[in-house]
Amino acid sequence: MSIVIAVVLVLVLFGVNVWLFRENARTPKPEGCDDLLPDCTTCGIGDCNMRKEPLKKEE
Amino acid sequence: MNLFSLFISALLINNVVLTKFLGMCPFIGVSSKLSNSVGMGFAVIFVIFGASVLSYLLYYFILVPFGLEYLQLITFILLIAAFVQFVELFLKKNAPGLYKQLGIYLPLITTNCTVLYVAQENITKGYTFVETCVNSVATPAGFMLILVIFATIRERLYGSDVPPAFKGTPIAFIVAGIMAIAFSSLTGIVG
Repeated sequence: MSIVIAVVLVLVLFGVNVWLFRENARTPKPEGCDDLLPDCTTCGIGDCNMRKEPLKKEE
Repeated sequence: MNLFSLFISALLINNVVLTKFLGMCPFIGVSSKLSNSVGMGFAVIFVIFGASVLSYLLYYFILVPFGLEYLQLITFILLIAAFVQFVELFLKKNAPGLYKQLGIYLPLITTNCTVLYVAQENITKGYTFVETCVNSVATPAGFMLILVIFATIRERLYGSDVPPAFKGTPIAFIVAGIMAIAFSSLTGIVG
Protein backbone atom coordinates (compact mmCIF):
# COMPACT_ATOMS: atom_id res chain seq x y z
CA MET A 1 0.00 0.00 0.00
CA SER A 2 2.80 2.41 0.90
CA ILE A 3 4.35 1.81 -2.53
CA VAL A 4 1.11 2.96 -4.17
CA ILE A 5 1.03 6.08 -2.03
CA ALA A 6 4.69 6.77 -2.84
CA VAL A 7 4.09 6.48 -6.59
CA VAL A 8 0.95 8.64 -6.40
CA LEU A 9 2.77 11.29 -4.34
CA VAL A 10 5.69 11.52 -6.77
CA LEU A 11 3.35 11.58 -9.77
CA VAL A 12 1.23 14.33 -8.18
CA LEU A 13 4.29 16.47 -7.44
CA PHE A 14 5.64 15.84 -10.93
CA GLY A 15 2.26 16.73 -12.46
CA VAL A 16 2.07 19.94 -10.45
CA ASN A 17 5.54 20.83 -11.71
CA VAL A 18 4.61 20.23 -15.34
CA TRP A 19 1.34 22.17 -14.98
CA LEU A 20 3.05 25.14 -13.30
CA PHE A 21 5.83 25.12 -15.89
CA ARG A 22 3.29 25.23 -18.76
CA GLU A 23 1.22 27.93 -17.07
CA ASN A 24 4.39 29.94 -16.51
CA ALA A 25 5.41 29.60 -20.14
CA ARG A 26 1.94 30.66 -21.33
CA THR A 27 1.67 33.68 -19.03
CA PRO A 28 3.07 36.79 -20.72
CA LYS A 29 5.65 38.82 -18.83
CA PRO A 30 4.48 42.20 -17.47
CA GLU A 31 5.16 45.28 -19.55
CA GLY A 32 8.78 46.39 -19.43
CA CYS A 33 10.03 42.99 -18.29
CA ASP A 34 10.52 41.38 -21.69
CA ASP A 35 14.30 41.40 -21.83
CA LEU A 36 15.26 41.41 -18.17
CA LEU A 37 18.48 39.55 -17.52
CA PRO A 38 20.77 39.82 -14.50
CA ASP A 39 24.30 41.04 -15.07
CA CYS A 40 25.62 37.56 -14.58
CA THR A 41 28.54 36.67 -16.79
CA THR A 42 31.30 35.69 -14.42
CA CYS A 43 30.67 32.03 -13.73
CA GLY A 44 31.96 29.41 -16.14
CA ILE A 45 28.69 27.69 -16.99
CA GLY A 46 28.51 28.42 -20.72
CA ASP A 47 25.08 26.98 -21.43
CA CYS A 48 23.25 28.81 -18.63
CA ASN A 49 20.28 30.65 -20.12
CA MET A 50 21.00 33.68 -17.93
CA ARG A 51 24.23 34.39 -19.81
CA LYS A 52 23.92 37.41 -22.09
CA GLU A 53 26.96 36.65 -24.22
CA PRO A 54 28.31 33.20 -25.12
CA LEU A 55 31.60 32.16 -23.57
CA LYS A 56 34.63 32.86 -25.73
CA LYS A 57 35.91 29.62 -27.22
CA GLU A 58 39.53 28.81 -26.46
CA GLU A 59 41.70 28.86 -29.54
CA MET B 1 18.72 25.03 20.87
CA ASN B 2 18.34 28.66 21.86
CA LEU B 3 16.69 30.52 18.96
CA PHE B 4 19.14 33.43 19.16
CA SER B 5 22.11 31.04 19.09
CA LEU B 6 20.56 29.23 16.15
CA PHE B 7 20.08 32.52 14.29
CA ILE B 8 23.64 33.77 14.88
CA SER B 9 25.08 30.34 14.13
CA ALA B 10 23.28 30.05 10.77
CA LEU B 11 23.94 33.70 9.89
CA LEU B 12 27.64 34.01 10.72
CA ILE B 13 29.40 31.01 12.22
CA ASN B 14 28.11 28.22 9.99
CA ASN B 15 27.61 30.53 7.05
CA VAL B 16 26.41 28.42 4.18
CA VAL B 17 28.71 30.01 1.59
CA LEU B 18 31.94 30.35 3.52
CA THR B 19 31.90 27.14 5.58
CA LYS B 20 30.02 24.70 3.34
CA PHE B 21 30.74 26.26 -0.06
CA LEU B 22 27.13 25.92 -1.18
CA GLY B 23 25.51 28.35 -3.61
CA MET B 24 28.83 29.21 -5.23
CA CYS B 25 27.26 29.69 -8.69
CA PRO B 26 25.06 32.68 -7.74
CA PHE B 27 27.76 33.81 -5.27
CA ILE B 28 30.28 34.28 -8.08
CA GLY B 29 27.81 34.98 -10.87
CA VAL B 30 25.58 37.65 -9.31
CA SER B 31 28.13 39.45 -7.16
CA SER B 32 29.56 41.72 -9.84
CA LYS B 33 27.18 44.58 -8.91
CA LEU B 34 25.80 45.58 -5.51
CA SER B 35 22.26 46.21 -6.83
CA ASN B 36 22.08 42.72 -8.35
CA SER B 37 23.32 41.07 -5.18
CA VAL B 38 20.69 42.82 -3.03
CA GLY B 39 17.89 41.71 -5.38
CA MET B 40 19.21 38.17 -5.47
CA GLY B 41 19.58 38.13 -1.68
CA PHE B 42 15.97 39.08 -1.03
CA ALA B 43 14.71 36.57 -3.61
CA VAL B 44 16.80 33.81 -1.97
CA ILE B 45 15.47 34.65 1.52
CA PHE B 46 11.87 34.52 0.29
CA VAL B 47 12.27 31.27 -1.67
CA ILE B 48 14.26 29.42 1.01
CA PHE B 49 11.81 30.36 3.74
CA GLY B 50 8.78 29.27 1.69
CA ALA B 51 10.39 26.08 0.38
CA SER B 52 11.67 25.05 3.83
CA VAL B 53 8.32 25.53 5.55
CA LEU B 54 6.53 23.57 2.81
CA SER B 55 9.16 20.80 2.96
CA TYR B 56 8.76 20.60 6.74
CA LEU B 57 4.98 20.26 6.44
CA LEU B 58 5.29 17.67 3.64
CA TYR B 59 7.74 15.60 5.69
CA TYR B 60 5.89 15.55 8.99
CA PHE B 61 2.30 15.45 7.69
CA ILE B 62 2.64 13.16 4.66
CA LEU B 63 5.96 11.29 4.50
CA VAL B 64 6.28 10.29 8.18
CA PRO B 65 2.65 9.11 8.72
CA PHE B 66 2.85 6.85 5.63
CA GLY B 67 6.41 5.63 6.34
CA LEU B 68 7.79 7.25 3.18
CA GLU B 69 10.82 9.00 4.68
CA TYR B 70 13.03 7.50 1.96
CA LEU B 71 11.25 9.79 -0.55
CA GLN B 72 12.55 12.88 1.25
CA LEU B 73 15.12 13.90 -1.35
CA ILE B 74 13.06 13.46 -4.51
CA THR B 75 9.91 15.02 -3.05
CA PHE B 76 11.85 18.01 -1.71
CA ILE B 77 13.43 18.61 -5.13
CA LEU B 78 10.03 18.47 -6.83
CA LEU B 79 8.45 20.66 -4.17
CA ILE B 80 11.17 23.32 -4.42
CA ALA B 81 10.96 23.38 -8.23
CA ALA B 82 7.16 23.69 -8.07
CA PHE B 83 7.36 26.43 -5.44
CA VAL B 84 9.76 28.51 -7.53
CA GLN B 85 7.53 28.10 -10.58
CA PHE B 86 4.51 29.11 -8.52
CA VAL B 87 6.22 32.20 -7.12
CA GLU B 88 7.27 33.29 -10.60
CA LEU B 89 3.73 32.75 -11.93
CA PHE B 90 2.19 34.60 -8.99
CA LEU B 91 4.54 37.57 -9.37
CA LYS B 92 3.92 37.75 -13.12
CA LYS B 93 0.14 37.88 -12.66
CA ASN B 94 -0.29 39.84 -9.45
CA ALA B 95 2.83 41.86 -8.70
CA PRO B 96 4.52 43.14 -11.88
CA GLY B 97 6.61 45.64 -9.90
CA LEU B 98 8.00 42.95 -7.65
CA TYR B 99 8.53 40.69 -10.66
CA LYS B 100 10.65 43.40 -12.25
CA GLN B 101 12.81 43.53 -9.09
CA LEU B 102 13.08 39.84 -8.19
CA GLY B 103 11.68 37.82 -11.10
CA ILE B 104 14.91 37.64 -13.04
CA TYR B 105 16.63 35.89 -10.13
CA LEU B 106 14.01 33.17 -9.67
CA PRO B 107 15.31 30.87 -12.46
CA LEU B 108 18.79 31.23 -10.94
CA ILE B 109 17.49 30.19 -7.51
CA THR B 110 16.38 26.78 -8.79
CA THR B 111 20.06 26.02 -9.32
CA ASN B 112 21.00 27.20 -5.84
CA CYS B 113 21.75 24.08 -3.81
CA THR B 114 21.36 26.09 -0.58
CA VAL B 115 17.58 25.78 -0.94
CA LEU B 116 17.71 21.99 -0.79
CA TYR B 117 20.39 22.06 1.91
CA VAL B 118 18.28 24.15 4.29
CA ALA B 119 15.18 22.00 3.71
CA GLN B 120 17.21 18.84 4.42
CA GLU B 121 19.04 20.32 7.41
CA ASN B 122 15.77 21.23 9.14
CA ILE B 123 14.73 17.58 8.98
CA THR B 124 18.05 15.87 9.74
CA LYS B 125 18.74 18.07 12.78
CA GLY B 126 15.20 17.49 14.08
CA TYR B 127 14.26 21.17 14.37
CA THR B 128 10.83 22.16 15.63
CA PHE B 129 8.60 24.32 13.43
CA VAL B 130 9.77 27.55 15.10
CA GLU B 131 13.43 26.51 14.81
CA THR B 132 12.82 25.63 11.17
CA CYS B 133 11.44 29.14 10.54
CA VAL B 134 14.41 30.79 12.29
CA ASN B 135 16.97 28.64 10.47
CA SER B 136 15.18 29.20 7.13
CA VAL B 137 15.50 32.97 7.53
CA ALA B 138 18.99 33.10 9.08
CA THR B 139 20.73 30.85 6.55
CA PRO B 140 19.65 32.80 3.42
CA ALA B 141 20.22 36.05 5.33
CA GLY B 142 23.81 34.86 5.84
CA PHE B 143 24.00 34.14 2.13
CA MET B 144 22.75 37.65 1.36
CA LEU B 145 25.18 39.22 3.84
CA ILE B 146 28.16 37.51 2.23
CA LEU B 147 26.87 38.27 -1.26
CA VAL B 148 26.50 41.99 -0.49
CA ILE B 149 29.94 42.22 1.19
CA PHE B 150 31.52 40.33 -1.70
CA ALA B 151 29.78 42.53 -4.32
CA THR B 152 31.00 45.67 -2.53
CA ILE B 153 34.58 44.38 -2.53
CA ARG B 154 34.36 43.37 -6.20
CA GLU B 155 33.03 46.80 -7.19
CA ARG B 156 36.11 48.34 -5.54
CA LEU B 157 38.37 45.80 -7.20
CA TYR B 158 37.32 47.05 -10.65
CA GLY B 159 39.10 50.31 -9.93
CA SER B 160 42.11 48.69 -8.28
CA ASP B 161 45.48 47.92 -9.74
CA VAL B 162 45.19 44.14 -9.88
CA PRO B 163 47.92 42.15 -11.70
CA PRO B 164 46.63 41.03 -15.12
CA ALA B 165 46.81 37.34 -14.26
CA PHE B 166 44.49 37.86 -11.28
CA LYS B 167 41.89 40.09 -12.92
CA GLY B 168 38.27 38.92 -12.85
CA THR B 169 37.38 35.58 -11.32
CA PRO B 170 40.84 34.63 -9.87
CA ILE B 171 40.96 37.67 -7.57
CA ALA B 172 37.32 37.03 -6.66
CA PHE B 173 38.19 33.53 -5.47
CA ILE B 174 41.15 34.87 -3.47
CA VAL B 175 38.85 37.42 -1.81
CA ALA B 176 36.32 34.67 -1.06
CA GLY B 177 39.07 32.62 0.58
CA ILE B 178 40.19 35.53 2.76
CA MET B 179 36.57 36.16 3.75
CA ALA B 180 36.20 32.49 4.74
CA ILE B 181 39.29 32.76 6.96
CA ALA B 182 37.96 35.99 8.51
CA PHE B 183 34.55 34.49 9.26
CA SER B 184 36.13 31.35 10.76
CA SER B 185 37.38 33.58 13.57
CA LEU B 186 33.76 33.95 14.74
CA THR B 187 33.64 30.29 15.79
CA GLY B 188 32.69 29.93 19.43
CA ILE B 189 31.01 33.30 20.01
CA VAL B 190 27.72 31.56 20.84
CA GLY B 191 27.31 28.33 22.74
